[in-house]
Amino acid sequence: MKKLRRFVSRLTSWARTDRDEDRLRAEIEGHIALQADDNIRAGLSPEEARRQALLKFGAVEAIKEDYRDQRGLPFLEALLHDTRYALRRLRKSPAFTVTVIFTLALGIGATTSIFTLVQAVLMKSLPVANPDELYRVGKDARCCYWGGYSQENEFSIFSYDLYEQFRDHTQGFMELAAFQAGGTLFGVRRSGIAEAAQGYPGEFVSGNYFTMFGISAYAGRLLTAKDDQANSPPVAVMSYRLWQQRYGSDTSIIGAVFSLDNKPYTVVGITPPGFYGDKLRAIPPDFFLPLATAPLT
Amino acid sequence: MDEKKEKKDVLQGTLALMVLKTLDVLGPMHGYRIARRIEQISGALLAVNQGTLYPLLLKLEQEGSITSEWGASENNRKARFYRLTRQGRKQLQAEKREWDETTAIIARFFAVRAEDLK
Repeated sequence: MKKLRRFVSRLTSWARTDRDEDRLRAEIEGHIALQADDNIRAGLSPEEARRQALLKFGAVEAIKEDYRDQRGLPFLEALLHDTRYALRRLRKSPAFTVTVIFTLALGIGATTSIFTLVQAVLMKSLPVANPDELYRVGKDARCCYWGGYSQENEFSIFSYDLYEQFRDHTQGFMELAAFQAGGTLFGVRRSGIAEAAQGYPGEFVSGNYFTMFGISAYAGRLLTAKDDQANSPPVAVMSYRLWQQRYGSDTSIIGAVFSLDNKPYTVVGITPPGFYGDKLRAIPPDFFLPLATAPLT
Repeated sequence: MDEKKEKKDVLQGTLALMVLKTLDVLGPMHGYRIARRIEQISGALLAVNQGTLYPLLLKLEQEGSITSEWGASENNRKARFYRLTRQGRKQLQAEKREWDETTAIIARFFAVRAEDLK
């Protein structure tokens, strides 16, 4: 409390520097005069009396300095002076100033953008239940797209039969899900509404795809193993992004029938907002469809 | 530097206590009289540098322990008179208590003789 009071008092006294200086000068003057009076009374000559008084008072300038340090906020004042001085010097050499500002701007900008990327890709956890329990099968970094298929690079992509084999006969995984290599651009049209079909990316995924990621639907439901059977009615899950941006979060979308490449799918649910599919892609899928409904061509 | 500063702080602390006590006992007075009074009682402390009193007075005023206003001295010179505030009185009591405790402890410490510890 005492400290705070002192700080406020110092802060305000900063604004009335001149008055305080005058006060101090007058006070010192008075003090020395009084001392000199006493000295004269003690029998000294006026000059000697004043000299002695000054001597006894001590170094006037040093005390004034001390007083100034106590009064204002010397740190702030010095900072202000230094800043003014720096600005003045910078104004005098514009070429140097521009170079410095440009260098700093470039450096800060580059650092920021790199950190943003690192933060998004490396540091932020995936928007799934247990990111640390998630494994991709395969040993090459090349994955999940047709270009990854070659005779030399094993385990890049798998046939559906092999996936089934692994899924049914591998112990040690809670779920083994599969998704289509690459993506498909579908011509999408909402059934019963006369509009031109629009192209949206989609992806065929296994029925346990969402179960494996441990995520649940934002609205409606997500795919289940039952949807991924040969004779199940074709259903689809829509991305939150498409639902929000194209259809204005219209709840009647859930249950609506959409035609994807002329095949009718019932939309049963919406993915959660942070989920953009299984891999980093510039255009994330807007429809997730059961693998069983994938055309065999 | 640090050592010097520390010593100055201690000195300033005791000086502050003396100023507060002086104002408490003798009522409002100006800087010169405070200086003379402390000089009379403590001798060496202010003998050389009476001026050091003024930064201290400012600090005490900023802390709200004393207030000041202009007035005329006995021989009609303009002088600033300092007065103890209610808060200053409280501070004086608190610091006196602390001071008494400290001196009592130190005194007891010096009083102990070797045979007492056997």
